[in-house]
Amino acid sequence: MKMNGLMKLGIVVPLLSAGITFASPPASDTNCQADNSWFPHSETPMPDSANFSPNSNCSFHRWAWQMFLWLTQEDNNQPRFLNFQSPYDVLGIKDRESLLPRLSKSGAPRSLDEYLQAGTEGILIDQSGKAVYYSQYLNDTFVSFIDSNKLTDPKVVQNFDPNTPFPVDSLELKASWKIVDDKDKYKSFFTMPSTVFKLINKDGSIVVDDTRPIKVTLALVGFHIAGVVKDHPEMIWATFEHKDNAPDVPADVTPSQIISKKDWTFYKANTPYSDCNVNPASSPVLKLDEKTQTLSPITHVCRRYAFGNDANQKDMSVPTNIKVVKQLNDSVLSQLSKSDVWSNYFEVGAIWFARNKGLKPNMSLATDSDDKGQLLIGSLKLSNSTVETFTQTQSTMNNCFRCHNTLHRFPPSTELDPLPGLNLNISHAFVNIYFWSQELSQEKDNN
Amino acid sequence: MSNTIFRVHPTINIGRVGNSKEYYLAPETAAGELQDESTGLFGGLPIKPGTESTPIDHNDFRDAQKNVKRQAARFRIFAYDEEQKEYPSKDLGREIKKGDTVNGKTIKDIIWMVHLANKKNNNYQITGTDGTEGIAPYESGNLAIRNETYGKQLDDPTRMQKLVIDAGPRTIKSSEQGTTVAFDKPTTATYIDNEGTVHSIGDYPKSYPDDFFEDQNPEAGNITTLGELQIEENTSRLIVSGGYGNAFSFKSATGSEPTLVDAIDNDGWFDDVSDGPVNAVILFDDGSISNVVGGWFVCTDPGYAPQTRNVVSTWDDIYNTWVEELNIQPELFNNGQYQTSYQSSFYDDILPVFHGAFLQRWNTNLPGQGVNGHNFIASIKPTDDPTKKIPNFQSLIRDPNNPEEDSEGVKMPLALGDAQKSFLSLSKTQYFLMMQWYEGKSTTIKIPLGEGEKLDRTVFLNCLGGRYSPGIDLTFIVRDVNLYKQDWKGVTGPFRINQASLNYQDAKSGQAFLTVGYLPLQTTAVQPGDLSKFMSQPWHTDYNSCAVHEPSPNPESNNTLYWSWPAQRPVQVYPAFECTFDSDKQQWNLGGQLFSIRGDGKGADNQTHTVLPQNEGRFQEYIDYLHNWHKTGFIIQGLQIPTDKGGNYGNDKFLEVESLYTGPGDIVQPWPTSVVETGNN
Repeated sequence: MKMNGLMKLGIVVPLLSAGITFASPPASDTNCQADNSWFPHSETPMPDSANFSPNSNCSFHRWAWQMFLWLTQEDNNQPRFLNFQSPYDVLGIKDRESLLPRLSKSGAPRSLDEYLQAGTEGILIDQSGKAVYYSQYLNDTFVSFIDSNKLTDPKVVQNFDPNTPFPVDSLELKASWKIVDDKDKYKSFFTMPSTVFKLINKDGSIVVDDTRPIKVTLALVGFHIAGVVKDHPEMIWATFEHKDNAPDVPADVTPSQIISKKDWTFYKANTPYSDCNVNPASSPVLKLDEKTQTLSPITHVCRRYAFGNDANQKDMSVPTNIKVVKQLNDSVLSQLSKSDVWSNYFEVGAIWFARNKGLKPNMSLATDSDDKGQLLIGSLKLSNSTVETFTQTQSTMNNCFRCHNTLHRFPPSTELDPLPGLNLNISHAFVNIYFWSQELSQEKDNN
Repeated sequence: MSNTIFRVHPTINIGRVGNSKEYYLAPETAAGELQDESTGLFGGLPIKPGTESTPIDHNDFRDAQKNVKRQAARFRIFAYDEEQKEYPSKDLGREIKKGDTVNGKTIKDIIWMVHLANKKNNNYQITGTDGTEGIAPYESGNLAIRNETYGKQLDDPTRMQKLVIDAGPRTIKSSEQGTTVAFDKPTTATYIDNEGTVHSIGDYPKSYPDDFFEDQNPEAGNITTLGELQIEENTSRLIVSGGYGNAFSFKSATGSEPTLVDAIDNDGWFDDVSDGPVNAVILFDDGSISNVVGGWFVCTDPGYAPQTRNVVSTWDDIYNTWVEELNIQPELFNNGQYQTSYQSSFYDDILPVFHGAFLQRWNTNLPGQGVNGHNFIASIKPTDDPTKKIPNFQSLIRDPNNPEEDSEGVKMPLALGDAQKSFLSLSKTQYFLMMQWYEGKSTTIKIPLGEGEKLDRTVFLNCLGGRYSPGIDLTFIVRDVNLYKQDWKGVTGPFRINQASLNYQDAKSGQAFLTVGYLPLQTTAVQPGDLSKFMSQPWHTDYNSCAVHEPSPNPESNNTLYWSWPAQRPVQVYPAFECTFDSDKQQWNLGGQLFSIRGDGKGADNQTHTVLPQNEGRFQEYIDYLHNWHKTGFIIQGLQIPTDKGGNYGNDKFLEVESLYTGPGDIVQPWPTSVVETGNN
């Protein structure tokens, strides 16, 4: 029997909820269980990414769940991840729109300005007509790597060794937030007072007005974790959602099929599948009422692939992955206190490379296999229904690696330089920092 | 100097059907090429009739009754003093007109002769018996004949008589300005003999569908003509206009009703497209004559987005064929090898490809990220280091020399591929020229083309290439060397159709004049109707169908939908009426996108409505498009859409105008969209 890191050190963690003490189960695809050391939630240790042992699907999902628990532990009176820096902090800017210097310290509350989903620019519009907002976080290892290598300088990036990956322990996170009018109605969600920038109609588009923050209460509905562990510079990409977000779609769905007879946070009862996940981003039907800050049409979200896998797929370890994620969710959730708000979240799935040290520059990651065999493994059709609502099914975007690849990138405007194909491009935070840093230089030159 | 050579240019010109008697002239500038730096006007626009080169504006697509104007083709004659020894011709040539003097002789008149026919029904199906398309069935012999009940061989006399629309030849003199010579039943067939004399053929066996069949679908219009000839006012140029977009259906020989259920092969349907040779004889004041090297007229689908350049055009396929197989430019390709010493032309070989890429957004639902990438590529300047602008060329552009890349959906061009290929590739010549540029071997000097050869090239640049299943303007036969006069050096010049010599004096009433004619990979010369017969039968079904599809063959695990021919067949468009005016900035902002084909009515009442993304942007029944094709709108640069606010909609937009559909259609979602299973599989 293999031992996990804590067991090697002779540490046996009491399972308080059960009131008894016994050894942690190993990571096993036969019976994937939580590690005893994770409980209580307040004492979950940080995953030991440097000594990560990739011996099973379960070990990756355990890393993901442990990381979720560690990140959501209270630290400085808020979940730990909220103390992390944002990509804006790395550049010392206030927000994406203004590119103005940020005056307050990192970690201080900031207004959310991200409301478009990556790739398709879709806006997730909740049942009240409000937009879902997004925020991103980088841990110290990530930020230190950027800083120590001077990667906020575009010229440095252009000459950077394309084979160099992010170091072990690097983390980038993305959270999705629903605006709630009354936090008492959302007791099962983690909520926090915050501000978001107002949405306005401008130049034919819906954009944020970064001069007009609105005080709101935000409820966390989705959470991405991407992190580097030993031998996996591509990062483990895991995602979590609130249990009431959206219904799962049956494997053999038809367009007219009703997906659920009950209301969900982002789904109205009795909506047929053909009306789920419709993205009107480029259609004139998309409207914003600036006064009420409501948009239409409302998005009905359906989770196309439960646990990030097609239940009809029988190869590439898919049945195992589905079983493992279910087992681990059951194991963790049964051991979290019911009063713990984080017990209302679950792991949708996680995806990583089937081989160690497989990341190389200029990989498109467009398919699950390459000429050497299976390349991707885990939740091969993984999306967070609140973060990638509109790209759950399309084979060109239906898992994290379709977009998080190491191809070169063209810039968002013609004045900027493209980004060469680097291993670091796996992180969109890095990609954005590269282009924003050029915009910053231009701003400075113009001033 | 006495051996002056006369040639018709362009070698092929394209007419397009419309349901109006009026027409505009085929474009003589290439889509994707900047015409006016001061205004930002791009090429590709058709020309207002009666003008030398004035581009049409948004009011010119339809007549006062809102019918679609046809595109007519303008042909000219150029004189060359030297035989052609190379391409481009060192002798740039000069256009000649009635009244001009050549070698001391004045041109008294020019007699033009055109013969139009439609042979689609007496040809093979595009799809072979083994399911392959394009040239493959001709290579394998797995050919399926259209309208088999009328005979199993193309040379069956019944088939040749009944299944071919043959209007016969017509002539018109340059001196006959104001005259219209129609390719209809009442107009007598005429031809020019070797002495330059015009003869009538009163008993020419003209053939129209209602001569033999009862129309089973009169709503789509009878076919009583294939078009007209006219002489341009104040010039000696010939103007050829084609059909009206009508379709005539007929029962099989066994009495079966026709159906319209296939995208490209429907027995029992005629349309009124056509093609045929354009010949001319010059009459001099001293009684002498000169024969002119002929051209060819092809009439095809309407041009709904004339300024959107195809990333791979018909020119790219034709040029590739002539470069690799007919030794047209040994300095570029010789002894089976591309010559690495050759310098590509940035402005002719490179930038237009990039412009083609960035123009696709106006006919597709490309998301912002894709639009930004294309805009970036289109902004590359000849002074830029290519490797700094495109860090990894191989990971960006699909290599046509590597079949494995046919199925790589992440590479460009991001559109559906040719028959038996998943995705579109540049031609090998295009790719080589791009690679030369990428490796620093390019020049800013434009290709030194004379006006006539420039017209030849421009026509093809404005037509679809790369994906011929079957295509819209011309098809896979443009890659067959047998289509052309291969002895191009000397009098003929390149890119000329291997025109059959027709002995009109042998024409007899009651006996088909035209025979089987040209077939791919065979050396039989080309007759009227032999170019368009490889196209969809009728064209309407293919146009309707070709919105978005899965690739074929579909790469494993792919369910993403891609566009068929976005430049030529707009799928998602930006209607001008959805734009909003910002009075502070005095500029128009883009509105949302609608499907180009979006029908009338709302929801399920709209004949285009579907819950399946793979079927969006088209009529769900082919017959409905047959009845509504003329409602489809046109895409034109904002500069050409005048308005009280701001003068016009701006040179930075290409907007849909003049759509007659009243429905909003289904919601356009940004790419990618994917197949939704119906549960019936």
